[in-house]
Amino acid sequence: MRFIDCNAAIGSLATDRYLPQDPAAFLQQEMSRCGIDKALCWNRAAIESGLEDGNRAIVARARLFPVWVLVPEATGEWGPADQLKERIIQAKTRGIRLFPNKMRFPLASWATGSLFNLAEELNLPVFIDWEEADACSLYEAAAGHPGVNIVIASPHYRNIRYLYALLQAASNLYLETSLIKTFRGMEQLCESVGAHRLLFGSGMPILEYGPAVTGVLAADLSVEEKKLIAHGNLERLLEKAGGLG
Amino acid sequence: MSRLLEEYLETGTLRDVALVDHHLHSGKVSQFYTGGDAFSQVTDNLRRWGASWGVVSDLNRYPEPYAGNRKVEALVREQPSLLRGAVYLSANRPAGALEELEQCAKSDCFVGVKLHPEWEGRSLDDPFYTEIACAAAEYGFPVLFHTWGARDIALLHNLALRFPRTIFLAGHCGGEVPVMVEAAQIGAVLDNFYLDLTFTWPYAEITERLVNICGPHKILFGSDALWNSMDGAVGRILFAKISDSEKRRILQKNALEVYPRLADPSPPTTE
Repeated sequence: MRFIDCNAAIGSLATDRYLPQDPAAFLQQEMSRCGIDKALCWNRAAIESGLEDGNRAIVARARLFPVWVLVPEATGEWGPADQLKERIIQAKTRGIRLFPNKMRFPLASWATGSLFNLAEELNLPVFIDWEEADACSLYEAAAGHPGVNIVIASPHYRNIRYLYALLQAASNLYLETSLIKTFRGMEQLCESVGAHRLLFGSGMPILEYGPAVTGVLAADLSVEEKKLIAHGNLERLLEKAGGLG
Repeated sequence: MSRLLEEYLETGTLRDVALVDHHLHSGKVSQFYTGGDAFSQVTDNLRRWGASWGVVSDLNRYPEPYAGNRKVEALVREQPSLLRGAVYLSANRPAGALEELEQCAKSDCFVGVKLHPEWEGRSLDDPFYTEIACAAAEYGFPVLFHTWGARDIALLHNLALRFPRTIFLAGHCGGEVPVMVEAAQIGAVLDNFYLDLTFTWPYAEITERLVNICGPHKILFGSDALWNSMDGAVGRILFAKISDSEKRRILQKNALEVYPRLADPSPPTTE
């Protein structure tokens, strides 16, 4: 089974205590060891030590594809919109990541509308961690931007009732699988919303690949469903953005 | 590559080690949604992994005291070659607890004790748990305490010092990374203090770190099914950067040592 990780990161935060010294090298070593073909990767340093530097530190290479961390246009932190678009294209960025909670901005359309418009124009999925926005804001973002695919990353397993309701309410919402840890959680989600709504992710380098991989491989699902989750869905979402070739 | 991992990737199961999942739950779950609406799904899952044993407890509060233990007994009698029970005793229903423990010890359906102070809104140093922990040793029952946080681990440490004949299992290793490390440090020193790896967040390299601190012989595998995923839990061990013999210890051998009744099982008596 080929795996493409939609939820990997490099970079360190001041609070990191147990992370490997070089998260980027660690990520790539672990990808090789655990049979992960490619990964979308954002830089954790971008949320603490400078957006621009953080985003630029992820250089697209054979197996890693950058996901840029962005904030609303209002503060002008990323310069003129047309230049940002060009930089995103040049960097071969394959996703946008928003941290409304950690980076202190509202997810509402009046603040983030231009970001979602940019994502739609570039056919890039928008990744938002479950802990970064409440369920109502996530729904409103999805409903307000039906042309943008929004991936809820690291969804806490005990909030699965929220997730069912969200995925049933908005067809452009997707789930990243690293923390789908309830018993038969993967199987039940596939039955309810379809395997086409789940994207394999790891949470590396905070979390590890082992449980993420066996969570898909050992699930009581068809091979076709597992392939969709492991790589097919992400490849489909990124087709118009240049793919992962 | 690890032979165990290689074998799993080739066959989808484990043929070279018959794992023991010592931390299973039965009974309905309402607080959050889980796909486990029938315990038969857990036994199916155990079989898919080629498990030798699962140890199950039922923490739900039923009208009749100890009805959960009777339900566990019924499950064990349905699957006598795969399941054994952990006696669940609640500090909020203390009447007859020691008698219940004695009765369960006689039934051959049970191999250990499960205690869950947080579930009951209690502190781990509640006198009820102290009394049960002391009595459990009389029956050769290890005691699996749910622990989460530094305070729980510190209190369990005290209990382990106080009752050296009782085997204590720190459920979830205390749950958070720094606490897990502290628990492993205690496990490295105290013979009767073990770590239960069940449903700790799969922090990168934490399994390796714990093995380095307390040794592979002090860590037991568990999954928390039917609350949480067994498949993910096995993956943590299979993919860990430890030797295959260490993986076998964690997946199986340690449980057979800690739970003597699993190593030398008597068939459960029929009702």
